[in-house]
Amino acid sequence: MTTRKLVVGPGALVCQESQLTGNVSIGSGCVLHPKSCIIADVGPIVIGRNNIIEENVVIINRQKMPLIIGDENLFEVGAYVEGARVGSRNIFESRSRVVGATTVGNNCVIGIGCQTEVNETLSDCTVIFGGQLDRRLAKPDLTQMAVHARHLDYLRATLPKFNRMRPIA
Amino acid sequence: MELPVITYKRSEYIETDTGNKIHRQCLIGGGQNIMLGGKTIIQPNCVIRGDLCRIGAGHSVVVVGIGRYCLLGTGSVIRPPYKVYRGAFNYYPIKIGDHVVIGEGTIVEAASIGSFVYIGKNCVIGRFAIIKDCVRIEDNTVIAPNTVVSSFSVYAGSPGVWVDELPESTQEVYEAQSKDQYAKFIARE
Repeated sequence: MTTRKLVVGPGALVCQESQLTGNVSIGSGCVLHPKSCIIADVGPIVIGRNNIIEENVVIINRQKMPLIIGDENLFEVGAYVEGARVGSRNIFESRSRVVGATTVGNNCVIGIGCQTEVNETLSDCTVIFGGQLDRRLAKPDLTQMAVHARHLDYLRATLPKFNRMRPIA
Repeated sequence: MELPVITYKRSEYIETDTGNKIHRQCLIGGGQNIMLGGKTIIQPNCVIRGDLCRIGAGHSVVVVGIGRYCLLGTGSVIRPPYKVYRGAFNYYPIKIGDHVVIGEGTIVEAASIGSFVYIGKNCVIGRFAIIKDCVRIEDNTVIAPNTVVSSFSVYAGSPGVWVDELPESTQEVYEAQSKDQYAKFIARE
């Protein structure tokens, strides 16, 4: 495991069992569960503030350009994000896939097991759902942000009790 | 259907007094909150999140309860579901019955799973779903959050819907299968 140029913001929780390789910068207040995996072997990955990254999530940058992820995103178990740019307040549900050089806007939801197309741009508030990858536009859900804030509070209180945390330099 | 004998290296698995066999490469968070009924096999790279417990529920609560003769396939994830209730964010316990098979790569965030349940590979069981006894979930199914799956049903698709019903003998068949499976999971010297 190489930790070259790993930058972690203040107040972020990074579990010891998470795998971080390459040039990764994690914003303040992020929570990385054990077994999450961020691979920046080619280009750097810059993650904003207050993101939750759960188990078996893979965030990988295959391009030279930096992969920039905004604030307050939720990456659920087994999500896979390649992408070129990810906005803020998105939800990537279990086993969703963002592939190629896709750009994701703000307030998007990629449903369970859903996948984006290669190299597309998702406009704000896009919801991808169901087995047929149906799409529609949703109104931004303000309650979701309150839930996310409480989720973060919960994880900050609970995770360090049971998991070993990576010391933040 | 005759199951093949599967052998494993004794050093790869931890065997408990009650006959649970847990692979060493599993991620068990909050072990004191996990209860295994005995004779359960947990295969490599499983994730069981006992650490996501309810705040204010006191010490040594059972967050993940798993019954007897269960099989958790390679890479499956068992994590408690969360919700906001009366303004408080909390994770809630997950209960899994006896003779339950959870396939490879399946993600389970259910509230409860009954006994004699077969869940296929690469499924996602949504938050607070309730699966009753004697149920079969086919491979690659997505059970939507808060779904209640009734007994003797077969679910498939995304989102998972009822496709078929199971015969009355399901309980005996699944019980015999899971016991057979455990008996044929033998350590090699």
